[in-house]
Amino acid sequence: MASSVQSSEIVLVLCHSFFHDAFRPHKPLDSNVFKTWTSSRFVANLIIEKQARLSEGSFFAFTSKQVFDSFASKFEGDKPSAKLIETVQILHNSMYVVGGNALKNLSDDDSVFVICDILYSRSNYKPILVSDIPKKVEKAEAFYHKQDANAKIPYPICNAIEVELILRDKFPELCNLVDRRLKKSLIKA
Amino acid sequence: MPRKREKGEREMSADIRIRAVKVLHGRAKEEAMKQGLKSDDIVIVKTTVNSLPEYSVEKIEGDPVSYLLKRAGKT
Repeated sequence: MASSVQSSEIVLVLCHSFFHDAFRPHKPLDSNVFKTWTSSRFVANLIIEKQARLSEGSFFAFTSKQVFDSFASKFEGDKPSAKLIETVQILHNSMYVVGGNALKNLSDDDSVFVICDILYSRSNYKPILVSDIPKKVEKAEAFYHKQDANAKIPYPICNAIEVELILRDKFPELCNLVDRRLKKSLIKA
Repeated sequence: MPRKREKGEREMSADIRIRAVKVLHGRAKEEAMKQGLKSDDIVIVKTTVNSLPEYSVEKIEGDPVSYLLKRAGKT
């Protein structure tokens, strides 16, 4: 797994719902969905901006191969253009996509629970599982309780709105930069 | 500008990723400087390798997600 994420740093582990919300091309009409969309878009931009400044081999965001591939397949569609394929490659290179035999037979949900647990247990990372599915906490509890009825989820599971608040507190300068770029995009749109 | 490939010459490998201009070095940095980019700008760096790597640098305008979606024809 990642070789040189700085100790005690927050890292994000991304679920499928996050990708779906962040890369939804058009503004949703429903106000609640709109709020999730804007926060997901903000968090995705921050991940890209942060990764763009990290040295090679260091990562701020993680996901599993099955989660990423599932998103990429839907995003690309049947006959993707070269630019669309490049976009997926760029996103792939903006995070650590964890593959390998240990994860390959797990469900999408279980694969990200495992990644969070390993990041938390092997080091001083502070993983946050990012999911916009409210039942993710119940699913994680069920995953842990399969082996130990008293086990507790050792990392927070947050939706994009909650993660945006955490990131704004933790990385104010980079968040201001993301805000400025978002404003520039809106002006041009 | 990247060298135009001759007919039949196969691209051996390519990498594409987003980097901040401030962390670029060498010829990739030179390419960004030629375009008059600032250190806070972020760019798509495409690296193709035939013998000596070639770097193309594309400035991202606005926020990266919107730029990527537009670039891919999704918006």
